Amino acid sequence: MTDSRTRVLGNIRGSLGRTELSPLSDAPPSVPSPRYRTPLPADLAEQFALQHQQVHGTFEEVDSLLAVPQAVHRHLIGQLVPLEAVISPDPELSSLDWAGLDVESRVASREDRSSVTMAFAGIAETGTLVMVSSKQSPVNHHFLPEFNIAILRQSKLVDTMESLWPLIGEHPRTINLITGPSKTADIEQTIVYGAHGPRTLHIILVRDAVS
Amino acid sequence: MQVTSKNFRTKAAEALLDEDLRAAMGRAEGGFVDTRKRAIDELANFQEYREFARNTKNHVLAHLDGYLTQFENNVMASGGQVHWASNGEEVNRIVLDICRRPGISKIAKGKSMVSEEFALNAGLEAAGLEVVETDLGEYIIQLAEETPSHIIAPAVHKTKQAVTDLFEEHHSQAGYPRVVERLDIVSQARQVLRDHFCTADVGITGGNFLIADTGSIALITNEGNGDLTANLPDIHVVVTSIEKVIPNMQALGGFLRLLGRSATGQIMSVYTTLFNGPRRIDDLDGPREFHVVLVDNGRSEILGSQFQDILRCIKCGACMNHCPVYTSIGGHAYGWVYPGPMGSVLTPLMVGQKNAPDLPYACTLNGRCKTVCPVMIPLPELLREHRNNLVEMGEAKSMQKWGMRLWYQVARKPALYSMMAGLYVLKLNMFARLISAFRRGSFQYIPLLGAWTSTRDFPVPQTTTFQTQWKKRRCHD
Repeated sequence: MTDSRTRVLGNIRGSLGRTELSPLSDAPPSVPSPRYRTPLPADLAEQFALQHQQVHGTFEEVDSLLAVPQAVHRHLIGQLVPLEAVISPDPELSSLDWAGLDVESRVASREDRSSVTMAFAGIAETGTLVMVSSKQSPVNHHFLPEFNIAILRQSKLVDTMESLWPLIGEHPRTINLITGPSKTADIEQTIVYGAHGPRTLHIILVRDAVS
Repeated sequence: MQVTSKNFRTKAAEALLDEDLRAAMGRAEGGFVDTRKRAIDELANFQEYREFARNTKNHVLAHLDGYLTQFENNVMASGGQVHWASNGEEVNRIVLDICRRPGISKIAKGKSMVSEEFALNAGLEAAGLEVVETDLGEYIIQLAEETPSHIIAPAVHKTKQAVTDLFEEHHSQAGYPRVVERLDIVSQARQVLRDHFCTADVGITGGNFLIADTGSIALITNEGNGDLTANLPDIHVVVTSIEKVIPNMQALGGFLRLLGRSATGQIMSVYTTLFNGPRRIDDLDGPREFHVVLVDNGRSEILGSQFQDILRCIKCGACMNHCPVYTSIGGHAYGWVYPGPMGSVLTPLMVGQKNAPDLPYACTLNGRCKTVCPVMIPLPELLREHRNNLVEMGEAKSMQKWGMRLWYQVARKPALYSMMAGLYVLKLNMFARLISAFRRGSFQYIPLLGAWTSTRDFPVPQTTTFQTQWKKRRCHD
């Protein structure tokens, strides 16, 4: 498609009145910092929980990673679903004692009702989970199962999206910013949860931050 | 998509008589307007973000070739392929070339307004491929064989009852029951579409933003259909247009704070995904091929013209949600892909002014669209530019031309103007009293204005003009 490429870029240059490729030497405008009328809680965990619950997500805190399997167990019982889950092939998740739960560490398939994933970070301003794809964190875990449980370390919370980008080094195949469970308003503008992605999104915050 | 914008007047008149449509539009308008306002009021420096977005888009447009080339290089560096298309035919050919391989028969498709411009689905279907729209709204209108009537809520004109009937018609052969409740309708769509996601060979999505310095595509949905479309099939094709490029990730945050709030009153849409190329060597899922089709289709000609500002549009739909014309007649009357104020500006530019002569007049110049636009597009001014151009092209109606000419002659002579205006006002008032044809201080019929008064009452004027009253009042002061 070299011809179309030349044509499109040529048309653009013609319209801009240039003959050479536009240099990218001027810096683009810089992004403002958000200011809210009702100030958000100063504590990032509190802020995250508030925003996440506003978008219909559920939330709990545990003291250490070791307490995660029990929290998952309780959550699945509460959802009235089988005590089984596909977990991300994350070494930390795999090393936990999942006794009493049937967990498998592999890619997700459409038969999986529940998944457990490890968040890369969380954005407090919007209650957003940040998932970064890798061999330890395949993408379909976040979308195929009906019930998604995400583990988020308190030390991985950032205030805004602007603070997140520098933490992601080499760009992975996907970065998923997930804010609440899947929903649609396509039937008469009324919200229904669980359109194509998970019906529920439960976040377990691990309090690992140094106080 | 076929252009039927020439029939705007007839279709608008029909739409006004469609009770179902009016009920649907009434519901939608209230929801969109109120939730947007609540979300925007909370962000104290929303205006600062609007200015940031306007300046960023202007900056990118002024360096568009540079940013597109940077984006292209970075997509290729992450293992993706970039295709350029100057028009719709080329897009269809490129996508067909990707899909015409042994073993490819089904395409899952995420919502893409750009792809509606050149009826991509029809092109693929003509080549024997099965195309399934996966956004619930798009799926509904695909079953109904209709086109989107809103850029973010494509089935906004459909009632729940209509969806129930459509699903029964199309799903019952496969053993699905008739569903009446909203939750059951959504669950059935989820089940039916899951089968398609898991068996599709190619996934086609749009892109909301193209990030130049990383080569990422940002895709934003609430349902999650875009992600399943992109992740499950072996090939992911992004069909997107050239004006969507932004400089970097930092800029993305600025746009995201505007987009969700302006579109649906959400602080953040549920899924914002950045795609960078195909599956990596040690990834466990994701597509093996990643293609980006960069579509021009007339945009490079709008660049540098008096209409360039429309290229800042981020397709949030706020202008249509706040437009009294759109909310009264819905999107189909506009006759092409993009309805409402942004559509009335864009359609004549993309399909030719002669093919959409009425759209610039589908506007009361009330200015709400401009007030709510997150990228500060002066929509009413652009519509006025279209009107000017139409007159210059000799496209104005002769009555209109003669009327304006007469008004122009009279308005140039202040004495004559105030005499004529005074006479008209006095006559109207006398006429009103004479025939007592008014109730509650308004006319139900005025000679020569029959078309106007057939659906509206006209207030009975004072006995003197504004200018006369103003003079009198000033003398008293």
